[in-house]
Amino acid sequence: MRRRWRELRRARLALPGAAVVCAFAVAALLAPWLAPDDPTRSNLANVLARPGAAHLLGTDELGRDVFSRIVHGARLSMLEGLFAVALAVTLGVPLGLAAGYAGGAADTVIMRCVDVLLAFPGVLLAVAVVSILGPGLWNAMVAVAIYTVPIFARLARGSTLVVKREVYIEGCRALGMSDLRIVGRHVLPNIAAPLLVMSALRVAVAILTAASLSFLGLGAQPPTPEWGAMLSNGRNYVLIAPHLVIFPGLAILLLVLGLNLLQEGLRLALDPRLTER
Amino acid sequence: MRTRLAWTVAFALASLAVAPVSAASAPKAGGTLVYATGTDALTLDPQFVTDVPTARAVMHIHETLVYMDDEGKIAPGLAEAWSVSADKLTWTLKLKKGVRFHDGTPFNAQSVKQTLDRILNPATGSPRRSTAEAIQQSRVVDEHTVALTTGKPFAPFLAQLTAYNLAMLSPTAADKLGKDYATKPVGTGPFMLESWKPGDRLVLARNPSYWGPKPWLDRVEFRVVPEDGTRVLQLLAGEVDVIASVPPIMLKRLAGAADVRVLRAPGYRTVYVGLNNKVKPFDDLRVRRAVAHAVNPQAIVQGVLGGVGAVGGGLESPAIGGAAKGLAPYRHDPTLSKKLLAEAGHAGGLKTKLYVPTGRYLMDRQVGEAVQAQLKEVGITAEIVAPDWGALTAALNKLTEIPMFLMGKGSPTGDLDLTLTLVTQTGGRMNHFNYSNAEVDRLIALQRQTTDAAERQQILRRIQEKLYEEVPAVVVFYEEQIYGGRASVQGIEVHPNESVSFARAWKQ
Amino acid sequence: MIPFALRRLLQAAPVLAGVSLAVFFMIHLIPGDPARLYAGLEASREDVENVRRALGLDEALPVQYGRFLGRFVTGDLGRSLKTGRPVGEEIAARYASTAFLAVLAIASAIALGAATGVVAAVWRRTAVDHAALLVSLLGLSLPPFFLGLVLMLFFSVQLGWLPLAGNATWRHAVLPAVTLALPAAAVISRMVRGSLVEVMEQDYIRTARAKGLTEWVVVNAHAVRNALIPVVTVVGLQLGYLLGGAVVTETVFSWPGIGRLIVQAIAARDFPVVQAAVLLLAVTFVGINLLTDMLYAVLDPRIRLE
Repeated sequence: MRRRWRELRRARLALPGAAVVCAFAVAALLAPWLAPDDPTRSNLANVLARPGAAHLLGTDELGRDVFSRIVHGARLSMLEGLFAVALAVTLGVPLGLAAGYAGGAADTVIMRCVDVLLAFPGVLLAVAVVSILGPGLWNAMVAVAIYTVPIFARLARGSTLVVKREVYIEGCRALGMSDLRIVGRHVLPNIAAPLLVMSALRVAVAILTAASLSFLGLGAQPPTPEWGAMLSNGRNYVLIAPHLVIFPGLAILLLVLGLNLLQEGLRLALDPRLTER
Repeated sequence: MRTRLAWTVAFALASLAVAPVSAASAPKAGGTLVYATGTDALTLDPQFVTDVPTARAVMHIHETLVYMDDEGKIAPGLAEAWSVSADKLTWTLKLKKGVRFHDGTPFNAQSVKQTLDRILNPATGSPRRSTAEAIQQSRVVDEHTVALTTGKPFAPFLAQLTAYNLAMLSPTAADKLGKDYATKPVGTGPFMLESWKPGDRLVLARNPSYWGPKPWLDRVEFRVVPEDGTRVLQLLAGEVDVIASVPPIMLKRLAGAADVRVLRAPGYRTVYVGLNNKVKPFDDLRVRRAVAHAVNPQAIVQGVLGGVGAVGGGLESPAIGGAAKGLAPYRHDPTLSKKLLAEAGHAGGLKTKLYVPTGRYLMDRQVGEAVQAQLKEVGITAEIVAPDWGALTAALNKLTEIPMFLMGKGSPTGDLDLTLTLVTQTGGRMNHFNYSNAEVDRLIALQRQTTDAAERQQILRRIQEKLYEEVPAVVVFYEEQIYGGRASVQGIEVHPNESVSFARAWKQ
Repeated sequence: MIPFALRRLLQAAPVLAGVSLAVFFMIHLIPGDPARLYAGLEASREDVENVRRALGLDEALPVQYGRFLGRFVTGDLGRSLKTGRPVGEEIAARYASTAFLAVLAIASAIALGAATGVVAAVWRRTAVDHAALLVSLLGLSLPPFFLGLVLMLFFSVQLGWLPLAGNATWRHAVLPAVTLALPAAAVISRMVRGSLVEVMEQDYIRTARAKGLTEWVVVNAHAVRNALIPVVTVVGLQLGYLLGGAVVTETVFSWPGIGRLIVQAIAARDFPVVQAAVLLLAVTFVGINLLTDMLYAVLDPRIRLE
């Protein structure tokens, strides 16, 4: 009983995280109503204005309202994170499950391919994929997803291996249950917890990676108000208009921090192995 | 040597305006000038140079036979005098005596012939072999005289010789080094290569046996700093002495700094919005005119470029000799624009794609976004596509893929012939907007052979007026070059073709 | 130990082959014609074909790949398409540059991360622990380009203590190394704490405590060794990530590293450079993985027997 209580208390970490994430999600959903201005309308007569009454967070190098851009950018960032991870999970988990459950040759082949993907130096795989597909928000998300697939494949495989050893799986097989059923009913639910925790973590990483790609000019295209792209454009004006760098940076920081807090709390609440942490 | 008058005046004025420093101090020998550049030189072999940053480094080590001065006239370089035969096919150049390459090989007619033969030889693999294409034959008349023959009368021949691809190389070195010449260049210029860490810095040292006035500086260092903002910060901090391509918005900041000054010079480059004349809807002149009236060049120059740049209607920058003066930009008139669109059957607006390069020209992406916004106001929805340069050039070469694009055009020779041939002649290699007009083609061929200067000028004017009427592309602005330099550095020379020379520079 | 290492290397060979094939395949999928790119837009079709021939780009793809492999095994990495210089020269200095930064960053990260991790573990479930967690999460959430820019603004521009770009002196390495080290330190710190706590709760540790030894001695003597294993994993992963993922930091600080070289080479369609550089990084990862595996074997004899 005391252990459960401690677990839940630790999980209260998730609360501020969840609050922040919810705030951004709300902003993302209500963007068109929250934003005072059209984020893509430029006003060449009022470039690089400081934050003030007319424009809450100032204007950028083409006179667009920064606050509106940040609010619309929330949509893009959340989309980036969720889509990339969803795609990665959809591709990676079945691969890992198959490898772990089937074992043998299938396992070796699949895991070798995964190793090849993992051997690619970090962000560079994403850069290569975006170069092939062409720059753009969706292509950047696909690139981030590809870069994340091996992680889920590995995790799914590892967890599957652990569950596979459980005695009751043997029992199911003895009962004549088809493999597909065993996987669907017994393996999958049991590996869900670590996958969920990893998903939350990877959403945060995906947002950072996508923002990095945009920073390098390979992600969202103008005039899309994506935070990484905004920061990248803003850095040329940092001496005379630091607000162009600070606000997008803070936005990314807060959203990712919120996600990380949420993820930490989830991990504590969901993973039964992690007692007394 | 190039005339520096116009330049020195502008320079002196600028320095007086910013700092009460002695504008008339005597040159001092010694010191290293650090020039921060966005991209590294790709090679030091003049025959493989295809971009301006590389050319800037290469042209301190090598020299051409003739130069273009600031007024568009041919000035002597390694050639002192020249004449053309009566049939206008053979150009005879008298070379300077007593010049040696950095490795001691004497510079003479033989080395000119060998240099030209090398670039014309397909085995060399020069991407700019066509620069020398006009030369059918080069002949050594005597040790200091060379005769170059062209197949047909070619009026801009001397202008062609000012191209950096035709700079003189030491034949001994070229033969001995082969491909390695790219990293161990041997020219006749005021500086020699001292060391080169690729991607990081290129260091040139003074040539003590230079045939002309010896450089004041001991060394020039080309330091690679890709970030625009960082270069400006370094200039302000005194870490570097000169920077190129200052983002115009930073000018205010630089103007406020006491020990830094800004150098502005007109340039040959025109930045324009190309419209694919072979693709709907831009094959309709009314639609093209509508775009011309929708774009507001003044607003872009003021808002995006902080006032740096000139506006006009002609495709050729007024800085180029022979460019028609007085072609005003199309009036910014969104109402007229919408009317023209309606007449052409697009009353409900139009959807298209605008391809924009990034990092290729100053503020290219931002200019593209501004154009997009201006087009939106008249009902033209242009989706911006910004692939990297490689993908963009691939798409451009597929002639009908791109409907609308932002592009720049310069003038490698300072003479209109080359740029008209490449950009506006039917099938021209850089005619990405697929403009085709038989009359213009005829006139272009004619001007190339017209050696009478006044007559040629008239023909050139007719061509440009025709282009102005047909508006195959909408001119956004003519690029103005902006450099930033420490107040302690004097004597920098800038030319409209974007070459920068530190040969006569000194540090206080 | 040696047969163990050899076995791992042999296992790595097909992965490396896979990487080289994947890179070759991917980079040729990127739209654009390198010959046209180098010759420039102004070049005539003839000139472009000349260039193509001179660069060996006119041969069929399998032939080009075969040629690349053939040269690679003899140590010849080919010439850069863009500059004509031997690829080995192009990437050696840049690789060393990034490696230097990565090692510097990981060393700082280990020091910082281990220290905070141990402190958090020893004072677990107190305010100190919570604070450390928060700080770690903060470190993980900072986008490197943001952190780098802010540090640069403050230390280089405002205070003028540190230089802005390049890698000429030791001073130039400080800010990029810090930017890279902080997120890595965050990860390491949490891993150290978690791992230490887990080990510390185990029975034999309770026995030692029961014997009356102070908490610090308990930690140092017994817990650390066993806690190191997951930490070693993480350090290896981080180091690997730093080598390739430092491209953003390299961009912000104009650090002439290999990450930036690869991005530029991709943009320039400079196949030989991309292939050689990526392969080099992949080989480095394999090396790091091997080292971590060997470290495991040292720390936990049971693993050696696998």
